[in-house]
Amino acid sequence: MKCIDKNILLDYLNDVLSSRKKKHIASHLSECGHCRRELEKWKKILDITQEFVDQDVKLNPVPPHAHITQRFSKLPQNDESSFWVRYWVKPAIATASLIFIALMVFFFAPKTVPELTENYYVIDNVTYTETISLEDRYLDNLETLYLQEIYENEELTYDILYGDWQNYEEVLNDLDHDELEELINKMYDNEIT
Amino acid sequence: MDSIRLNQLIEENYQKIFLLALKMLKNYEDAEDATQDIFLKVYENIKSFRKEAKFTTWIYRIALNHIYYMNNKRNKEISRFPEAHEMRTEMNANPSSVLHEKELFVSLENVINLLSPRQKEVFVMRYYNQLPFKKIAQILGKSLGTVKSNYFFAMQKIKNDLQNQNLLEFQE
Ligand SMILES: [Zn+2]
Repeated sequence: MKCIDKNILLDYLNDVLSSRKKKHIASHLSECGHCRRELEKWKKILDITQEFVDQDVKLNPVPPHAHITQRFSKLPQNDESSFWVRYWVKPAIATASLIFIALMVFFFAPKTVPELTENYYVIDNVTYTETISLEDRYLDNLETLYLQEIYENEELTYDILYGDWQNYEEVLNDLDHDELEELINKMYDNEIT
Repeated sequence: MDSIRLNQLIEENYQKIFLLALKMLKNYEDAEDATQDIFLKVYENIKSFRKEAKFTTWIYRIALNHIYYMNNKRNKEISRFPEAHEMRTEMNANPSSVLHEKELFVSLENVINLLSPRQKEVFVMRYYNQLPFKKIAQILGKSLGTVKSNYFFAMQKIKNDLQNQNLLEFQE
């Protein structure tokens, strides 16, 4: 039975995995001493790091300056919405959005990969575009690539470093420790800081 | 959003943004200045902001923009007056050096400073600001996978460094 990758163990400790994956890992841990020790190692590092951070936070208490809070408290309250907005427009919008959501669920639910959605922010008169990426569950369907390809293709290495490395999760899971070490070293070499 | 709720949000986020600025800029005074400037920007732009649900995301974006802006500005100054900078760094020595586990904490501080800016911002938002990965991804406009990999490589560096300095003993 193959061992669990280090970064997956880290995800496991951070509780960011699906329940299916968590179950799989828990059952592997129950029968593999090597992975249990590896998990203990990460846990210890996370604990030490958290302890360090907590101390650091305690040492640097910075309450908001009075001139900042005063400004914010002087901001005018929002006007109460008018009769028509409250009793007609809002319920109408609510109904319309419910219908819209229902339609979306109907059309897009069966196993299609959703379109990327974009949000816009305006800060200092500059518009920022944010792309909400695919959720983890859609990543399972994406094709996996072979190690050789990852080694040889700089773009892929870049992708793993800065992009959706989880696409290659299955490949990473199959690596033994030496191979993984080699891959990580290669990534470090390519890293732009 | 009413002003009481708004004040609450400011209180909640002020300290967190300060810590983010402190870790990214590595200087107490600069971090204080940056945090004040960031919240003044938030104040000036509050009317253009609409949805409460994304308020923290919005604040963090303003914060990171400002922090990077300040850092670039400062780097230019440092290259012109390197001596002045060294004196200032000396005076703002890290207060965590008084801690009982001195060695360990100083070492962790050093490792954090060795992280790339991307890794550092993810690390600080995760540990100091206690934000979930999904929120961090939203703030940075990156995918969840990217953020997780930044975090993983940051932790890998921390782990290696602690092990190299023999600050962690494991039985293999
Ligand atoms: Zn195992």
